[in-house]
Parts: sequence; C-alpha cells; structure tokens
Amino acid sequence: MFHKDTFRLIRKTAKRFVTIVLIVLIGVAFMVGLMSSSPTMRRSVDVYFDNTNFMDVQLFSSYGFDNRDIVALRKSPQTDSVYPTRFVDTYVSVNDRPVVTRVQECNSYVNRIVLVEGRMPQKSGEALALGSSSFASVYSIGDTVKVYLEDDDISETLAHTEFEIVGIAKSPQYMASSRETSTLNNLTLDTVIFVDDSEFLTDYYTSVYLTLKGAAAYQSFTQEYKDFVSNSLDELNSVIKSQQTVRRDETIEEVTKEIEDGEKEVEEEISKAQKEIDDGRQELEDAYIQILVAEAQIESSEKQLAEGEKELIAGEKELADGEKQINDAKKQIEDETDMPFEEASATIQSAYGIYVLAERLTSEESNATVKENLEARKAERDALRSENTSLTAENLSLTMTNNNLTDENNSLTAENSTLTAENLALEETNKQLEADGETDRIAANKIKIAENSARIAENTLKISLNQQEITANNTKKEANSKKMAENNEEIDRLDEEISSLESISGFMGNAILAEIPEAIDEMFGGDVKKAYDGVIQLEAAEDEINAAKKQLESGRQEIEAGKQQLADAKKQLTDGRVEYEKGKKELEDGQKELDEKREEARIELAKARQELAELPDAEWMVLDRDSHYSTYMFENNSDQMAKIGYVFPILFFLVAALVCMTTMKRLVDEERSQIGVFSALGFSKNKIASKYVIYALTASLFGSVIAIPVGMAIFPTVIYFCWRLMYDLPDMVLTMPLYIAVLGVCSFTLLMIAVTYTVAKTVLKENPSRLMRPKAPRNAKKVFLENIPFIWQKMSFTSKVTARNIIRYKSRFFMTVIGVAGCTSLLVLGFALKGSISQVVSIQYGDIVTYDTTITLEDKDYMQDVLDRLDDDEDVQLAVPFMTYSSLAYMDEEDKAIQVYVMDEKDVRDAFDLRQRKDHEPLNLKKGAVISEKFSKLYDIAVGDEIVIESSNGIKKAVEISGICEMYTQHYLFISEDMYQDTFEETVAYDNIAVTNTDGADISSRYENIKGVDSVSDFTAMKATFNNMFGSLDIIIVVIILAAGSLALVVIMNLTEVNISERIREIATLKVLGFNNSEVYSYIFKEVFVLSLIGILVGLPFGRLELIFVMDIIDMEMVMFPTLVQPSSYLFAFLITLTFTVLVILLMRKTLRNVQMVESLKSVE
Amino acid sequence: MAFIEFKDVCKTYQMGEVEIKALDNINFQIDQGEFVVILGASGAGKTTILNLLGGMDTISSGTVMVDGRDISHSNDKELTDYRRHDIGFVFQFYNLVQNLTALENVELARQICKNPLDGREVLSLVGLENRQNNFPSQLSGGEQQRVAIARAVAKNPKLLLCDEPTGALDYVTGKQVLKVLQDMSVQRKMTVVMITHNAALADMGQKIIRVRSGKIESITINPNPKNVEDIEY
Repeated sequence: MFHKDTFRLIRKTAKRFVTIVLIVLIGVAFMVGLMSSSPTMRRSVDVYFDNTNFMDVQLFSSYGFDNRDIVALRKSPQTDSVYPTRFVDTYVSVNDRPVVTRVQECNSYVNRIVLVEGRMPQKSGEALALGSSSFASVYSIGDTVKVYLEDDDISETLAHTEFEIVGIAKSPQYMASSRETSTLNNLTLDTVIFVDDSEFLTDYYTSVYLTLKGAAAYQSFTQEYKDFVSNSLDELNSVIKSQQTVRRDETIEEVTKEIEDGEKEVEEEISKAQKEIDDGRQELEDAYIQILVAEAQIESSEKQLAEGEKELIAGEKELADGEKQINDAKKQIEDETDMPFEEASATIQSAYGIYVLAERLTSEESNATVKENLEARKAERDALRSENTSLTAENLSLTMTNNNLTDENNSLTAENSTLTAENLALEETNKQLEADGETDRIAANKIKIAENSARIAENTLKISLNQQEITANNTKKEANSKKMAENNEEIDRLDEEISSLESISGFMGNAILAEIPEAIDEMFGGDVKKAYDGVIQLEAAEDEINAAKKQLESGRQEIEAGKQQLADAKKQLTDGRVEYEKGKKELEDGQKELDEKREEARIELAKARQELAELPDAEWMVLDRDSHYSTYMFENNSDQMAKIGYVFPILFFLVAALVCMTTMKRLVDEERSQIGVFSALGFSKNKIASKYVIYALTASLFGSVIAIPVGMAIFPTVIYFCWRLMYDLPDMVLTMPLYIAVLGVCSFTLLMIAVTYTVAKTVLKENPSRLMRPKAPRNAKKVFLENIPFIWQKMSFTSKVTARNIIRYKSRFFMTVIGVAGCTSLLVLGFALKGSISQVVSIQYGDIVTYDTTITLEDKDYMQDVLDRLDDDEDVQLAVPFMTYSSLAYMDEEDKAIQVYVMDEKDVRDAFDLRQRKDHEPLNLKKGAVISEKFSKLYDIAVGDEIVIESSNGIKKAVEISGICEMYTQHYLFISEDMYQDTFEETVAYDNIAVTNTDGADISSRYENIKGVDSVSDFTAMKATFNNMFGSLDIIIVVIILAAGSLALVVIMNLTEVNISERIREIATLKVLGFNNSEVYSYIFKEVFVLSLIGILVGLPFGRLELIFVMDIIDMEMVMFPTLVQPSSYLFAFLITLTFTVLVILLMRKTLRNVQMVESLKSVE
Repeated sequence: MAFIEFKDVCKTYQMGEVEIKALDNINFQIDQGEFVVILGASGAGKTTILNLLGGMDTISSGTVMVDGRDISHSNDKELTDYRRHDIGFVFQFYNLVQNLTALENVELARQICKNPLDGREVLSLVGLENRQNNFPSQLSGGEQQRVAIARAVAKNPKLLLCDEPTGALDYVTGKQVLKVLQDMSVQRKMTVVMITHNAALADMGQKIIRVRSGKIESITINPNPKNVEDIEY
C-alpha cells in the first residue's frame, strides 16, 4: 500500500520524474556511448583482422628469407601460418610527380586482401590498386602504372614494369590513411599495388607474415593478446636466433666460395698476364739474339764485301794489264801490216784460208782422196736412185692390187644388197604364202633365203679380208714413200758434195796453186800460219778480257747491292734495337703494373675475407602488431578515444547528481507534511526514505535502460564514422563490454539513490510534529549589493528578489551554474578543439614560419646563382639561405631527433618569427640556441641548460639554450651561423633557401627545373593535408554540441521547473496583485537567466581547462596543440548556451501562465 | 447604481465526473465606501465570491459589475488591469515576498500602480514605521499581515478585498489588523470586502452577507457598525 503512494507520486510529479529520467538518460547514454566507442572500434577491427587472417608478427631480415628459413619457422610449434612474401618500393610518375608505390604480392592467405571493385589479376602484367569505399585509390581501373627506381633497374626485380590496374582492393595492412615510411630515401609510402607472385624475379623473400598458434583466440589490442604474443615470441626466439646464425654461416659459405673463386680467377688472370709478359720477354730475348746474329752477319758480310772489292780491284788491274798487252799486240800487228787491226785480222784470216786450200789442192794424196770420194759419192747416189725406182714400182703394183680389191669389194657389196633385197622380198612372199597356205613354196623360199644368207656371209667375210689386205698394202706404200723421201734428201746432199768435189778436182794439178802458199807466207812475215794463230789468239784474249770485264762489272754491281743491303740491314738492326728497348721497357712497365694489380687484388680479397669474418648474424626484425604502422596508429587513437570516453561522463555525472539533488529536495520538501504524517503514523525513517529512493531508482533505471540502446546507437556510430575518415575501417561491429553497461547503469543509479537518500534523511531528522507544520521560511539575507546603495536603489524589486534568491538557494545555484558551465565548457571545448587544431596550421604556417617556399639546392655552390635569380623575381619578397639537418639531441635518458636550422643571426627574422608563446616576446640567437617549446617540455629543458647535438658532419658538441620558442609541429633547434662555427669549428654549407612570396604568388614551378635546384616545396600542400586530417573533427563537434545542448536544456528546464514550483504561491500572489504576464516572467526568468549567465561565464574558462586536459590526453609527440581558445570559440559557446536558456524560458512561459491565482489563497504546507 | 453588483452568478467546478456548484444564483449589491463582511462556514462559497470579485476566477454564468464595469466577461488582460489598478488584496497567509523587506513588499505593489500612496506613509499608517526594513521572516504574523494590508492599500485601490485577514492571527493581533482595516474604510472611504467565518466580526461591517452552501442566506444592513475595539470574539 505504501508503495502505491510512490507510484502515485510519480504520476503526480511526472515532469520531475522525466527530468531525472532524462538527465540519467543523457548521462548514461553519453557514458556508455563514449566508453564503448573504443571497444567498438577495436572489436570491429578485430573481426576484420580475423576475417582477413591478419598477421600477428611480421619478420624482416637484413639478408632476406629463403626457403630454409621458412621451413624452420614452419617447423616451430608456435607458428600457425608462415607466409613468405615479397614487395618492392618503387616510384610511379603521376602528373609528373613521383608517387611512392609499393608493389606487393597479392596475399591469398595471411593479410588477405579484399577485392572492392573490378576483378583479380588473371594474367601477368595486371595489378590491383589499394583503395576502398572510404579512400579513393590513387590509380583507377584501366590505368597503366609504370614503376621505376631512380638508381637501380627495376627489371631485375620485377618481370614487368608496367601494370594494368584491373581492380581495387583493400588490405588490413594499410588501414590508416597515413602510411609508413617506404624503403626509398625515407619517403612516406603513398600507395600500394598488388600483383601476382610470378611478377617477382627475386629468389628470396622480403618479409614473412606469421600468425601464431592460439593467438586468434584472443582479441586484438588486449593485454592478454599482447602477453600471449610476447610469450610465443620468446619461445620462437630460439628458432630466430639459430636461423640468424644459419643465415650468416650460409652467407659466409657462399661468399667464401665467391671469394675463393675470385681469388682463383685473379690468380689465373695474373698468371696469364705473367705468362704473356714472360713470353714477351722470351720473344724479346730471341729477337735480341737475332739482332746479335744479324750484327755478326753484317760484320762478316762487310768483310767479304771488302775482300770482294779488293779482288775486284786486283782483277781490274789484271784486266787492264791484259788489255794493254792485247793493245800492244794489236799495235804490233797494225804496225806490221800498216792496217787497222780489224782489217789486218780479216786479211790475215782470209789469206790463211787461201793458203790452206792451196796447200791442200797441191798435195797428191789429197787429189786421190777427192777422186775416190767423188766416185764413192756418185755410186752411193746411183744406188739410192735405183732403190727409189724400185720402190716406186712396188708402190704402183700395190696401188693396182688395192684397186682390184676395192673393185671386188664393191661387187660383193652390191651382191649382198641384192641378196638382202631378195631375202626381204622372199619373206614378204612367205607372209603372203603363209596366208595362202602354200607351205611348199614357203619352204623353198626359206631355203633360198638361207642360201642367200650364207652367200651374204661369205661375201662379207671376203670383203673384210680384202679390206685387210688393202690396209696392209697402204702401209707398205707409205713406208716406201718415206724411204724414197729420205733417199732423195741423201741424194741432194750427195749431189752437193759431188759438185763441190768436182769443182775441187777441176783445180787439181794447177801449177799456180803451188806458188800461192809461199807468196802468202812472204806477205805475212814469212809465216802466215803464225800470224793467223796470233790474230786468233789475240781475238780470243780480247774476248776473254771482255768477258772478264763483264764479270767484274757484275761483281761490282753485286758488291754495290751488297753494300746497299748491308746498309738496310744495319738500319733495320738499329730499328730493331730501338724496338727491343721499347719492348723491354714496355715489358718492365707491364710487369710493374701486374705486380701492383696483384697486390691490389690481394689486399681487396684480404679485405673481403676480413669483412666476411666480421659479418654479423642476419638481423631479423620481429615486428608484432604494436610495430605495425596502421595497427599501432589505430590502437593509439582508440586509446585516446577511450580516455576521452572515461573523462567526459564525469561532467555529466556531476550535473546529474546536482539535478537529482535539487529535484528530490524539492520533492521531499513538498512532501514534508506527508512525511510528517507517515512518521507520526509510525513508519520507520528508512521506510519513508525508501519511497523517494524507489522514486529515484525507478527514474534512474528507466533512464538507463533507454540510455543504453540510445547511447550505443548514436555515439559509437558517429565516432566510428569520424574515424573512417582517417582509417579504412571495416563494417562496424557494435560492442559494449558488459562492464560498461553495468558501470553506466550502476554508477548513475547508485548516485541517484545516494543523493535521494541523503536528501530524504536530512528532512527525516526533524521530528514529525515539526514536519507537519509548514517549514519556516528561510531567512532572507541581505546581499552584498545592498551595501552599495547607489546600485541597489536603482535596482527593480524583481532584480532585488533575483539577487537575494540567487544567494539564498545554494544547491540550485550550484546545479545551474555547474550544469550550464558544463554545457558551455563542452561547447568551448568543441569549438576550441577545432580552432586549436586549425591554429596549428594557421599559427605555425602563418605567424611563426613566415616564409612560403623552401628551395633545396643540390649543392651549396649554386647558392649565389639561385639567390641572384630570386633577387630579380618580382614575386619574391625575401630569400634567406639556411642549412638544415636532423640531429640527435643527446640527453640523459634517451637520444631524440631534432631538426637543426642554421641561419645568419639577422636572417632568422626573415623566415621565422621566433617568440615566446605566452608574451610573444621575440627571441634572438645572439646568446645561444633556441629550441621549440614542445621539445623543451618533453625533455624538461630550460633556458640556460646545455644540450649536446651534432653538427651536420656528426661532431657532437654542447650548445647552450637561450630561448624557448612557440612552435607547433616538429622539434626545432635554431642556431646562428656564428655560434655554429664557434661550437663545431665547421663552416656552414647553406643549401636551402627560405623564400617569402608576394601574397598569392606561386613560385615553385618557376624554380623546380633550374640548374642546381634539387626540390622546391611550399607549405600549401602541407596545410591542405593538415586541414584534411582534422576535417573529421567537425562531426565530433556536432556530437559535442548536441550533448552539451541536451545537457543545458535539461538543467535549465529543471532549474526553472523547480523555481516555479517552489514559488508558485509567490507567483500567484503577484498575479493577484495585478502583475501582468511579462512582469511575472521577468520576476522568475531573471533568476534563470542570471544563473545561466553565471554558469556560462564560469564555463568559459572551464572549457579552456578541458581543452588543456583533452590535448594532454591526445598528446602527440611531434605536435604541440595550442591551448589558446580563440574568442570566436568563446563567443559561439556563449551564444549557443544563451540560446538554449532563452529557448527554455520561452518554453516555460506557458507553465507560468498556467499558474492559478487561487494558489495564493491556499495555506502554506 | 451600486458600486458592485452580483447578478445571477453561478460557479460550478468540474471535479472529475462530479460537478460541484460552488455558487448558485448569487445576487447582491455593494455601495462605494461600504465595509462589507461576507460571512459563511468553510466551503460555503465565500472565497469563491472573493475570487470572482478579485478577478482571479471566472464565473460560469451571470454578471459581476464593479464600478460600472463587467468583469465577468473581461479577458485576461482586462482582468489583470482591473486587479492592478482597482483591487487591493489581503490574504489569509499574508503572501509577502520573503526576499523583500516590509517596505520593499509595499514598493513592489506600488511600482505597478498609476497613483500609489507613499510606501513609508502607508507603513506608518499600519504602525510599522520602525519595521520597514525588516524581512517578513523577522516580523510577527500580525506585523506581516499589516505589511500585507499596507501593500494592498499602497496601491490606492477602489476596492480592498480581505480573505480571512485574521485567520492566522491570535486575538490581540487580529484585532490590531481589523482596526487597520476599519480605519482604512472610515478614514479613506475605501470600499472593503472582508470574508470571514467568524460571526463575531460581522458587527463591524456596514453590510453583512451571509453565505451558505453556495447560496446567499441573508443580506443585513448594519447602520451602526461596531468599533473593532468593542468587538469580542
């Protein structure tokens, strides 16, 4: 029965009940929604990972992997899937810009890719591009992607260099929109294409994906999972270690063999070269000997030649003597004959002929011989003549015989022809006869034919015999004719001899003849024979001398030729010697070179051996998911999300407590007398309190139950949607761990119960009699304003009432102020978050970094040229050279990278506005280096501290910090040129130029292609990236505004409601007094308005604190978020909260209008 | 013509399915400057009459004329105006604004009138010149009621309506309050309508209207009203 009253109370005070339901609903929905956002994100990705069989561990090795590694890994009991894969980072030129593109194998098992659009590659030369519904892929289907490397030839690695995109796929490996660093010059990976395994030509694997046995049972990102992976890896470590060594040993073996082969090869080459040199030397030596021989020969030849010459001279002399003798003899003859020698000689010779003839003709003996000879010759001739006659006769008879035989043959031949014709005729006849059947005649004819044939044969034989005879006869005739011709010749000769003998015989016996020899002797000094012999001798001697002369002449010529030859030979010899010397020198040089080379090769090989000996083990990088870029990023971000999820509900918690408190207090106050009655009736205090506790409990449970689905429906969905802008997330899998639901429901319910119980208890402390009497009105207090009569007297009564009320009802004051402040601060936070992050871009690249474009030179030597060019450029305002490099800053705990900027002390202000963040006090580089604020905060570095950094050449020195500057991205250290040079004792090699453009000018294209310029980058692209990245925050801000708005509505509505119900009597009284509606509104709403205003004013700075807090949570290593809230953020928060207040006021006017004046007549309860 | 005229006034309340007739065909007239006491037991309908007279409630049928003005058919705005300028109301439970001092409560009423009386003067009129800066919680019941009367009078109304002004007061203070009301009527010629269940107070009225069960029982004219001092109850 008692609790029936409770539910009646709920019905009666439905508005208040709903208020509590609402605030619990908002609080729990917000809490549950925010808190389960992170688990939802993680669970969704976990499911995605399971579906795609995402790796637990990825291995890289300094040597790559071969099949033995894979086998070893597969054998190990910890691994489940071992999936070796290959990839290569390449460039692809897109719109003339290089896009770093990873070419990777299509994964079918581990890290399975999911086809989004198009089809899988079916033939070589086809590829998939990385993309998804959230992120457009860089390449579209149908594009042809041509990959290249700057230094190497990609065709050694890949079978194709051009791929046709046939589909779009997403991969769990590349979830984040930002990507890891590629293997190319530390450039960030832009995109990925997936190709068939067969495209890779390398025989080793780039990487291995592992899934661990049992790991799938754990949820990704949980500590349990991490512990499991870490334990498995500990166990797997032995395999890894041994495999690292095995790889080293194998490599050493391979390389040793290579070295040995190399050594052998070198040895062979060297010995070959040595042999060539040796051969050359041998040849040279042989040539030398030849030269020596030739020299000896030349010498002997010279000697011979000299002797020959000598002989020649002697010969000539002899010849001259001989000639002289001859000439003397001739002279003597000439003298004697008184004729020229030739004439004399001819005369003597013919005279001697006549002498001999005459002598012969005069001798008896000779006469007889002549006669005899004549007779013999005549006889001989006659014999021959007669022989010829007989021969002629014989020939005649032979001819006649032949003629006869020929005649006979002719007649025989004719006969044969006749016979043959007869036979033919007979045969013909026979054929006819055969037809006629006259066999007898046929036989007769046949016999006749046979006879004829025999006759023909006989004749033929005869002809042949005759012919033989004819031939024999002809032969005989010819022989005879020949003999006759010979005979005739002999006859002719004999005739001649005979005629000569006859002429001689004519002279014989002539007396004169006997006197001739004597006369001739007398003519020629008494003896013609002697003169004749002398002349003949003389002529012979002359001939001899002439021949000797000729001989001498040719001897002389020979000697001259020999001399010439000798000279040539000598010349050749000299040349040969020169050549020999040259050859010798060459040979020596060759030897020297060879020796050097040999030494070189030896050193190199020794070095290689040395290096090999020092070869480290293969270094395997074992990367679990914490080291996987996109997974790690995602985990971090979901962590930040989780932290925010834990923090914000606190605010709602606080407001909910206050709302509940005021509402319940009012409720209990109104029930005061009834409580008194129950108390008087003897109900226990707890029993009475339970009525209100149940009231609150019902409201809380009601709110919570609605809140859980509402919160789950809104927050994770919206937040997931936001993260989808940064990650390629799979479909959302809504997850709410039970503890979050329990925590959400319990925390708010318990809070409500506790607050209600406390409120009820304070009332129940009073005794029942007092409770049944009206509660004594609280004493009004003077407010401080009354001490300032000037203001106070000017205030209207409603203002005075408002002022006093505000002071009087503290819980209401705090509820409203905190509630509204919470709302305002949330709004400030929302706007400031966006503002702050966009300020990173605008302050960093607007105020602090004042230049627009960086020109990086290939070398410092081009600096002046480029600066001159920039000087002439109208679009360039300032151009400042600087040097920058990344250095490690050596600190106690760890060494951290910092970007060092070296500039001229005066130039700095033309590129950077170095200033302190808080007071914008400008900083300079006169006394030391300036570092960025984030770095100083992270590593607790103050002005005056020293930190050790490197020079651009790696020399470590300490520099003193003289200032800490405002800077939002990256870690910077600025140092002046002078200080740099003093510290490191190095000159500064400026290779960068900071260019400030005239507004709006874009100079980058102008300088990209000029000589010496390596690259030109301006900050426009960077700004765009940043803005894009933070664009997703807009949605978060909408969520925050909605949450803040609903909070404000509930709080202000509740405040107004309580306010009205508490003063319903007063309102009625005023109405009775004749206050019109607007006067009544102002009387009540002034208070609401003022309280809201106070709440707003308190909320504004709180918003800033929340921002600082949130920024602390989402702290990024390289980025400092400005925690400065822009005035516009305050203004928006202010206006929006005020709008909510006004909205509530407008809504509540109706309630006020409905207040009945008769209420004023009721007694005070 | 009478200053106030109730003519065939009926008022019914719908309480769920039950229809309650609070007033059943009421007719009476009040002249200007009269001190009228409406007498009746609890639930007789006297408060309803006062509500109708004060423009706080609407009638179901009939006509209510005040100073020649039909307030029974006025709209909200006209009624507010009527209350504002023509009526002064004294509640049984004073209904002072707790957050305002005595003087401020008076001033509160004054600020909405056309020609109000001086606040301090009115307070001294009710004998509270020394308590004007006290908050209601610092005043006794009688004092509070006197402040309430001062607040009503300060508006310089044509009609002063009093709902059991002594209902929450003891005898002595009650008398003090009644004295103030009588003085107002006599000295300032103000028309005063006071409802009470205390028959003893009837004697101080010039006209006594007795109400019972929503009907007029009797209307008595008392040519010689008693002074408050002479009334014993």
